[in-house]
Amino acid sequence: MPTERVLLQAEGFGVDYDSTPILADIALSVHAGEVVALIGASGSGKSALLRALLGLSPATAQTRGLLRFAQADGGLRERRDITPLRGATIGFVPQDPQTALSAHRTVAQHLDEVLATHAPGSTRPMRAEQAAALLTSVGLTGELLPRYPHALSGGQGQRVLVALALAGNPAILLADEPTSALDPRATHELLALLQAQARVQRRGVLIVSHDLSATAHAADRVAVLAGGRLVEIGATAAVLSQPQHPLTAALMAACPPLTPPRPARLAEAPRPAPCARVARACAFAATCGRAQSVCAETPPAWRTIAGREVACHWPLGAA
Amino acid sequence: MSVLSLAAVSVQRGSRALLAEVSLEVAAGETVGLVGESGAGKSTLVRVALGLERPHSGTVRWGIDDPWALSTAARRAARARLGAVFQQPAASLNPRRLIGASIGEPLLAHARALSARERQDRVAAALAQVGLPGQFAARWPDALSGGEAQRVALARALILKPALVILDEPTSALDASAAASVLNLMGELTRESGTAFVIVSHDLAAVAYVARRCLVLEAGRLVADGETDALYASATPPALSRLLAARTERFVPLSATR
Ligand code: SF4
Repeated sequence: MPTERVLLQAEGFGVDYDSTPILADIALSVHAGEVVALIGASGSGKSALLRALLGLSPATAQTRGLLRFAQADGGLRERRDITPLRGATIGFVPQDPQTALSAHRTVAQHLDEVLATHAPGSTRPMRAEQAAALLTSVGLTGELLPRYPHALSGGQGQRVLVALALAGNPAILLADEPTSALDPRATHELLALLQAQARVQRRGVLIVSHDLSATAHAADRVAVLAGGRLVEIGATAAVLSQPQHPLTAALMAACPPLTPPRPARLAEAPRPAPCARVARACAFAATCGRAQSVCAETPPAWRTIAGREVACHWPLGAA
Repeated sequence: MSVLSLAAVSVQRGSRALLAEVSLEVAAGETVGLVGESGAGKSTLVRVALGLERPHSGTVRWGIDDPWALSTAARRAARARLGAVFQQPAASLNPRRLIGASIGEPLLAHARALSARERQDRVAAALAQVGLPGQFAARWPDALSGGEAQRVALARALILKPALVILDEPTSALDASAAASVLNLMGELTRESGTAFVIVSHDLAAVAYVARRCLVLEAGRLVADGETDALYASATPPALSRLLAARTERFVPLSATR
């Protein structure tokens, strides 16, 4: 991956809401051509990160560290220096088509409006042609153009959201729980579509999800977020086959296997302490089964083990 | 004895058959999974089983009673034998009511003879049954994590000691750890409560974890009814093989090939 252009880069990035740290020490990059899955349960800080990426942090939020995006000229620029960011740099795919789309407007109207904002001088026929092309690019046909959102299946609605996000030809696609309302088949198809956007169009794709098993397999790299900090990040195959952080391992063990043998009880992941309280310890010191006294005294440093980075004093492989 | 039986149940929507001649029985204390692709008729089947939708033909029975042969009031009373849990736990919890009040609400409708004290005891017992401390009764729903909210929804579904609880996608809005906590609880309840459960989910592994028997719906028809692991191993009928094939575990990450 390092040979590919960096499209998004966070370094020592953090966010405080009302002087309370919500995110800390985030180091994450997304390269052209790759799919990165950011996995976090509710309360992990993923919504704060999502908002920060979209420039939608509340006015009272304070940020620390670097958050940079690639520009058309090839340079990386700070998040705050980019005003008309959404659309051309980062295309956002929201979670739920039924709430993201207006119930009273057709697919064609939605596409036309977004295309018009990206190309103010364009004519309606030009935009109609582009709208049809966008639908094709997400695997839909022009048949859906006159439809209202309620007449779309879950998978179709989600694809329309991807088409809208692609209207500005963004370098990065950012998708928030894009498959949570989809059945397995539509999930598979949507992930394949996002994967193709990375592979073929050379975009960087960042999928934010609570569900390690549903999204990670479509990703090239996985980053696990908990308690406002990243705890493990690396190649999907390495992370999934040999998780090193106790949380990642527990998240994997929480998923029941499809076939026997099945454990009598599924693992329930340890809960991290809130970000604000753990400046000088591991967030899992009080809940982790592997914790030793050092865990409550020193924050774990990042180390590299078998193709991924992990922030833990006692990673599984080093036992 | 069957707690739920459907005999040749059909539901039409316009010219489309949402359910076509579906027959099935759920025995007392049994746990049954129901899987199928979107649009296969799972939610219609859930509504018919709960007596919320009347089939165009065929018969539904709760134990020996045909709910549609009863008066509206008698049907409502008979529905106390069934509990339901839906995908969004928030949907069954009123945000302006304390959790204890939400859990105890069915008692007000169906067990009016109980004193306030007895109601409180039943709520506490229901909370204990789903592994939550009694203090939860005095909390507000917005203070609950997704997994806790789904436990509360189960407590509410169980409070009338129903013969059958139907769970419609109970874990699909939850993260892996919260889903595991709900499945662990389901495991305990299916072994210990004596209640029958029907779990509807597109997570085949979750279904197999709790249900030894599994039904497969395809285009409104019941196309398989058998032992879950045997069905998965045979990967038939086609609807099931498509669901198995769509499992995201089959994606090959690019990083694996580098
Ligand atoms: S640093 Fe210690 S407490 Fe934290 S995850 Fe690792 S072993 Fe557990």
